[in-house]
Amino acid sequence: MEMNFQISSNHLDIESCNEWLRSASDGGVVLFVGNVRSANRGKEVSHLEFEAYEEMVVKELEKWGRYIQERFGVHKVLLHHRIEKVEIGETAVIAGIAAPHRKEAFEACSFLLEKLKTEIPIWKKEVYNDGHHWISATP
Amino acid sequence: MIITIKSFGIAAEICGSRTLKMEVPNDCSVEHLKELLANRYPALSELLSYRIAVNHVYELDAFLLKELDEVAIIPPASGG
Repeated sequence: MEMNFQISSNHLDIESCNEWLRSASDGGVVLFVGNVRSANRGKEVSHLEFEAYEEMVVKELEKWGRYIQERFGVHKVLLHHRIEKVEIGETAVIAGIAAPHRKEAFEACSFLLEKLKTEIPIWKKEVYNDGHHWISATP
Repeated sequence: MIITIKSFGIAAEICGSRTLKMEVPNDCSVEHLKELLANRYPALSELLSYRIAVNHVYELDAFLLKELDEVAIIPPASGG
């Protein structure tokens, strides 16, 4: 089981993620790339700002990485996430799974993204010209 | 005892700081801490939810805090 987690303010590199996931034993690699879109909830978005509780992010990702490996039988789990300011069109997150076959790779990647949205202490602030909104924080 | 509490995202905005000091009883439970926080920062109750992490692990209401624990207010996650 190999895991590769990074929280960084630097640009994310899809090709290096793909290379890390590649191996002779895994026929299926699923990569999810999340880019910043220009509008949400009917408002024009200026940019996003992400904040993370980095020490806890690492522990949570290691815990869920082990769980995903056991539940889905996949070999590699990757998550790279930006923090701080991310501009429209830039990549905010890359999630990747390598597995012998595609079915478990897709399922594991989807599960990892669900946990990112609910369990991993990272927060997204949408910034507009006239204010900001913390996503998922309030009704 | 006095504990140090980290806060993040919208919780840091509500509390006005990323690091708080709060006096709590010895063996204060997470549940009691949430009551104390709600008194001091009523706007926390307007969040969809929030959890308390202790030493980087989510803890339930019955968990008892110790003075040197790293306590954090975790508003709803929204990565991705």
